[in-house]
Amino acid sequence: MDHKEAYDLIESYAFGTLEAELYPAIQNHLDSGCDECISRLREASELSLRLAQSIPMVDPPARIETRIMDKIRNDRQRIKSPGPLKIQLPYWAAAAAAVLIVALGSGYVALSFQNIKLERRLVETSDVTALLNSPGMQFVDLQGVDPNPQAFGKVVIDPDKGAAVVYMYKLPQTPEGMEYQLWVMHEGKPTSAGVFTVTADGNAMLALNELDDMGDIGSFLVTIEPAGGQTSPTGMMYLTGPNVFHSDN
Amino acid sequence: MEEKNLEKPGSDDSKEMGVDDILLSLIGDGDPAALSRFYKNKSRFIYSLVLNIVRNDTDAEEITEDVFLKIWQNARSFDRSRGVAMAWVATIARRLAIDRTRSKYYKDRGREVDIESHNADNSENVMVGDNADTTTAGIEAREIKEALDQIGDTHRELIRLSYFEGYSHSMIAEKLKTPLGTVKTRIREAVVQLRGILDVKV
Ligand SMILES: [Zn+2]
Repeated sequence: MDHKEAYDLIESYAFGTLEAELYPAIQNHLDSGCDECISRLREASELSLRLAQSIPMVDPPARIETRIMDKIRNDRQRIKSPGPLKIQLPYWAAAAAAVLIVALGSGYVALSFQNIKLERRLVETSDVTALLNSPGMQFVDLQGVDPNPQAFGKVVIDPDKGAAVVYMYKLPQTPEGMEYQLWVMHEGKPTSAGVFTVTADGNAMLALNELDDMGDIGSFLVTIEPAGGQTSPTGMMYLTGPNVFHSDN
Repeated sequence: MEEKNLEKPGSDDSKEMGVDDILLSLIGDGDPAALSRFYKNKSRFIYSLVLNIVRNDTDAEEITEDVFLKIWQNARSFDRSRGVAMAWVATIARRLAIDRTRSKYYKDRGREVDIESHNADNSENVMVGDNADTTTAGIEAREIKEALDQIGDTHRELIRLSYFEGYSHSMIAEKLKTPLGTVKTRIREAVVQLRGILDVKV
């Protein structure tokens, strides 16, 4: 489908009234990155959403949720992170009060992690609802590094509150005497955000609070280190995350 | 790196990530708890949207289920540069609901296609407005009615057919005996005008 054809059908696409057989062609055209059509799609779908605010609200029967959750529970292909994460954070309680100084150009900038508070508890996604409901929320993906490309993670960050939740999945078990260590990178300099081990499934979740200067954080890194952690990374890298708060360099 | 998940410096759609974006991303990673949370936040809206189109509890239930299963399967393909998460979800819901009203199954059950007759009261609610209705939907409905009053009969009729009745462009062209090209142009004009009047910023 050429641009002209697609462009004329964008409202129908956004309103959901397109003839069914035409959806893939429009989808392909949008996926080709046509700015004009994408911008028209935004306009039409936002109007559609606005018009939908006028419909009367009706509560759905509770059984719908049960049916949906039953179906996806059987969707083994898609579920990468089974169930609630059971978190073991044996060293985190002791990790508070680390004041870390990062050399930066001519001077020193304190990257304030002095009050990292980590809670040892069962964590589900719903536990971080407050964080998720924060308006300034941002997040980044963490990617597995060879030879463990299956590992991945996600950091949900609220820069205003200085809080973050770090989800990590599919990490290998740590050998005796070793632990993972999370690092926050700033201008290429790592600052420890603590050590952790993973569940039997290879998952971990860290809640970070009272992180000041969140806006200066560049990216995240997970390495394996001798138990108790190091002052700078020495071991193999397992996860890396991109620059979250884009700096222009 | 998945570029689409990053704030892009200098992009003009630099809206911050919202809860919906994050939940969709977690759903895209296959997190059932995130889907459950998303369902709790959005099911009332989705169910109501769908029910409003199909006008039947059983169909609305089935389609609502399908909408969330589609979200589960396709959350990774959500691209926030193309609009907010809820606009994406609403499009999925409307599409599934409208497809149902056009289906053979629907016609066989005799509930069909006369979309106009079974939805007429619906758009009338919006078109006429109910001044006593102080719910959010009621207030929105009045605002939208006022906006529709400002765009002129031709454009209003096209929004009614293409949005509230769920007609495709060619169905409208046929119904109004108007060239397809004219229908397309005028719907576009109506959308631009309505957006302007409603000051749409979702
Ligand atoms: Zn195009």
